[in-house]
Amino acid sequence: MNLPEKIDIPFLQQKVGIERDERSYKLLFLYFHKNLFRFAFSMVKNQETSEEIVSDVMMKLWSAKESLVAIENLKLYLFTAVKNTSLNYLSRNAKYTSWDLEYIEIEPNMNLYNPEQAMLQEELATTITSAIKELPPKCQMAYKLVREDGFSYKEVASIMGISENTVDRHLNNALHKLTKAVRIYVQQ
Amino acid sequence: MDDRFYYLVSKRLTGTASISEEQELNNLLNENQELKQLYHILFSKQSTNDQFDIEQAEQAFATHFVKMQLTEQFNSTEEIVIEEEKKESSKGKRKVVYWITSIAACLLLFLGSWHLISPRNSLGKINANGIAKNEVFTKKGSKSKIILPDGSLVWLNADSKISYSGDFQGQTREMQLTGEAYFDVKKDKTRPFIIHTNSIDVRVLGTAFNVRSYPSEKTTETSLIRGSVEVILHNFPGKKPIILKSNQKLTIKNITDDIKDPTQSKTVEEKQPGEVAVVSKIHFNRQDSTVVESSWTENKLIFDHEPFDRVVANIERWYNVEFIIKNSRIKSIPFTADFENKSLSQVLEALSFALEFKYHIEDNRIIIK
Repeated sequence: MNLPEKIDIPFLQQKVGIERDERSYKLLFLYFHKNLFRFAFSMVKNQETSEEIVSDVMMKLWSAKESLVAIENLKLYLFTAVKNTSLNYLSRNAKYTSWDLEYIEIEPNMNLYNPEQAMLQEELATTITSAIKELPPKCQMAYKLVREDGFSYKEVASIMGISENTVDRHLNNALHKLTKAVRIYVQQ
Repeated sequence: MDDRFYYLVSKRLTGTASISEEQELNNLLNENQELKQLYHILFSKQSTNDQFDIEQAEQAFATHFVKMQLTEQFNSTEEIVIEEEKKESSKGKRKVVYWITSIAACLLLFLGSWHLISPRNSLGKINANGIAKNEVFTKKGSKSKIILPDGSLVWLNADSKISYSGDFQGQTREMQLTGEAYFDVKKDKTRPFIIHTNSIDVRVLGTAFNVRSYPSEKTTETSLIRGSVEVILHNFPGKKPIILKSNQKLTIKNITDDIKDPTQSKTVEEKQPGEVAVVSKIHFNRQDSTVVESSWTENKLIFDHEPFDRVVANIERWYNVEFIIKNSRIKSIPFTADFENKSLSQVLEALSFALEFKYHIEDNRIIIK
């Protein structure tokens, strides 16, 4: 199944919530999966658990039936649900840490710093991703939600449970550090 | 100047830039080559979902969809819980992991015996209706490879039986299975291939998969290697069949006439009462990436975190021996190992070393102290 560039989410909400259209449901799943998965993973740090969390949230989406249509901002809703489920998981498993080492290498999204597209060298892409990883966790999360998931300050604030000013601070910090890292690399 | 740059960029990224701010940013980028380059590297438009991501999402959806089908099946009965297989927590139980790699060398007693059977040689019976019924069965300690009249291949594990009627030429290709078999089904869209076991029916068009349904075990497992199959649960007639895709494994609790003693838990992964179906991924052998669930077809006896009593049950079948375990400590310890073409004594040596027990052999019985 090939994903179209743009999808009409409210329309799909109707198709799924009221008409129970499975194809539309699959489309929503495929569309949101990558970003929801990465978001869950950034918190629980475990691939299997992240898949479970996304699956649980998407399952609720299906069982919401007609009330799905009432959700105004589906993307925000899904991310918030993933955040809550992930935090629940973490608090339940306070003593349990599992580092899925293989997966940590893949994220953050390497494709955003696509060597072919921007004609970058591998090294530069690595420099950037390292710089991102070095950001403090909340700063990293705020940056990712803006950059990779396209949320507004208000939405990020809502998901993270912080003020918009704090989001602004985080973003500035991230931009500052990243441009610094790239500058240093370019000057070499 | 930088601060202004950050401000404008963050405005743009969050979609909150005014027209003049957008314009200002564009001007800034045009005037300053360095900033332009930086911007291009860091903040240019995201690439759309690429092929790799879509494939991952497709796979995730496949597993998700099976879970959804299971949930829809069981919606009416509240007590039933569907969960994706969780890794067992150590919970203080002693965990022993012991890898035995196959020793390259000379004399290895070839275990079991393989018989290649074509329908002509199989045990033919005539049933009550006068229709020829073909049966192939294996005893403990041996396996068989069968070529069916349509060209499909069936590997039959120890202590297993398949039977089918007539010349297998009818509108459907149907058979009964008890025990364990690996199927490589010849593609024929016009003639569905259906396997009946005690608890489930598996319906195939053309594919490779493993079905495990021993009467003495609590569950029936279907592991799909290639293609897709439909699984129909006997306990829920009239419900839609569950579709499995490659690399998925479906484990169903067997239908039993009576409920056995519920306080006796035989597995380390203490399945919750009421858990009827679990979908999970098939296991790959860490060393050579072959599939654990079907490695018996290559004479590899593989255990992947199996509790010792299950290990013992498998060995009893494989070598046609009987174990008497007097040591209750070891019964639930999970065991991992890979035996290829090993003799029984080699296996016993390995086990006793790993799990620290002593044993002796009396007649055909192995007694573990």
